[in-house]
Amino acid sequence: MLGRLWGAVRQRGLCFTLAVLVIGGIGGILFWGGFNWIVESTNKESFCIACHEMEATPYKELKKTIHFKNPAGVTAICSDCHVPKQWIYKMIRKIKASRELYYHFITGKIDTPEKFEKHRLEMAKLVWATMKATDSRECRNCHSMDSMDFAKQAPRARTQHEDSLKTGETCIDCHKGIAHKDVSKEAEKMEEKAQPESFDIQ
Amino acid sequence: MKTLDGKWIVPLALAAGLLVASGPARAIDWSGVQGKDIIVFYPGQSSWEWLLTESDHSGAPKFRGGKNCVDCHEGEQKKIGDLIASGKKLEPNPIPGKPGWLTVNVKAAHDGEKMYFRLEWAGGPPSGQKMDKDFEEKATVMIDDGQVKEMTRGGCWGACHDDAIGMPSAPAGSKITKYIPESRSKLTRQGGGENYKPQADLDAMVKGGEFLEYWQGRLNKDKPAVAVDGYILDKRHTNDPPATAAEGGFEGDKWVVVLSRPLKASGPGQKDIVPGKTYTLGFAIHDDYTEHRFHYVSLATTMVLDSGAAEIVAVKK
Repeated sequence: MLGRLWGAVRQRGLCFTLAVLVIGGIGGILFWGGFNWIVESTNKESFCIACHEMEATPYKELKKTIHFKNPAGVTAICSDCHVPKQWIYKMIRKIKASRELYYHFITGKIDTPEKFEKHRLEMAKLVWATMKATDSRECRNCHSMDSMDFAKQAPRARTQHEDSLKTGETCIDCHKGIAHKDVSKEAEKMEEKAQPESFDIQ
Repeated sequence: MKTLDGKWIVPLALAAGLLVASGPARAIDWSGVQGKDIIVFYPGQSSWEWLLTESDHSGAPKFRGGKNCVDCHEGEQKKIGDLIASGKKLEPNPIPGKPGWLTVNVKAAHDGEKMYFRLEWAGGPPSGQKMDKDFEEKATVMIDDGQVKEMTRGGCWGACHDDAIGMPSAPAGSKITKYIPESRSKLTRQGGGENYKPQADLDAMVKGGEFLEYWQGRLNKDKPAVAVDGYILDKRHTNDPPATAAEGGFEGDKWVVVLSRPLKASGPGQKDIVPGKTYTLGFAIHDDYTEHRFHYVSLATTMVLDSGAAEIVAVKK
């Protein structure tokens, strides 16, 4: 009698467990898929330029560059350069991006081209610092030093790229302002780079 | 009959020697000498100080770190020249229609006595302006024997400064010509200005060969070429009379000039040209009656006599 009862409970428990597993699994997949769908939706170009701050200035600038239009038809959209591919870094970036929503909805910090221009250098420096800190990780999603055919590059590019392998320089060290208005000179003019202490050479 | 005072004998002998030395060049058979096409390009206001300032020239850290101009810019001369001549960069007063670059065919030879350079080029289209009212074309060779590191590293830019005539930091009415950084106690972004080293130091530099030598041929159609030469230290010094001879003019559809000078230095401000030594050369063309900075300049190139590892080998003829 007791054995039968125990068997029934076990069977129900098993069913319950199975039910939880199945429902949880499906729910999890749906949740995970939904979460990723939302995250990936925020990576789309249409999402980024839905805000007029992005559409009016940086996107218009991007459209004039080789990263947008080129003979090979390979296009980089905003997230290709500004959002990491790796999940954990992507999540960190998304959390940080919530600050941008604050500026967009609450303060309107860059909601006109004039305001954008006023803060351009400050924003550019942040992006450069991030790229420098990550060894230009997002650039390297598409551009691999291992796949570069140095022999087919222009002499200067060849020299610089070969050197960078020895010196540890990273893409953004040289390639600032290639997808948006270049303000690297303005940045340098505010530093010692504009008035060197010495003009002696080795 | 008057006789010469004994005290005049030495100076007269020296003058006669100089005249013989700088006289018409012995004809060299250039047909057997291999020429090298060198691109000279329009530099605008790119000074020594400009190229060492990172906010102006992104290659400045590389240059300071040991890269020479040619290491990055060889092959880019035409593109750079076109950009600058167009007025988009480094040229506030572009000359309409000015090409960004020219090709100069350079041949070098010696006969054991003299050094010869033969330069051949087609000038650009006439602009109608005559900055230099006397000469239509000028061809210059700058020479160093490794004594001036700025020349080794940066060619003629080692002598081109931000405060020179026509350059951005030139004081009003300034007549500052070319000079080398070692002639000044301090350089700033605006150049070396009046920060001259003491005359005794400059004299020692001349004695020690720490200067750049230049040979120039000034040309007109249907007139004999005129030679001008000297050295660059605290300023551009001109030899009077010149030790260099210049022959040439407009031949067919091209300008040709042969510059020559005894291999052995005949006075201060000249360098001995000897086998076994590597020389740094820079070439410049002032075409279409231009003067000062409105010229075309080459990147630094190297030369040896007879044989060796250099871009130009001056063969014995």
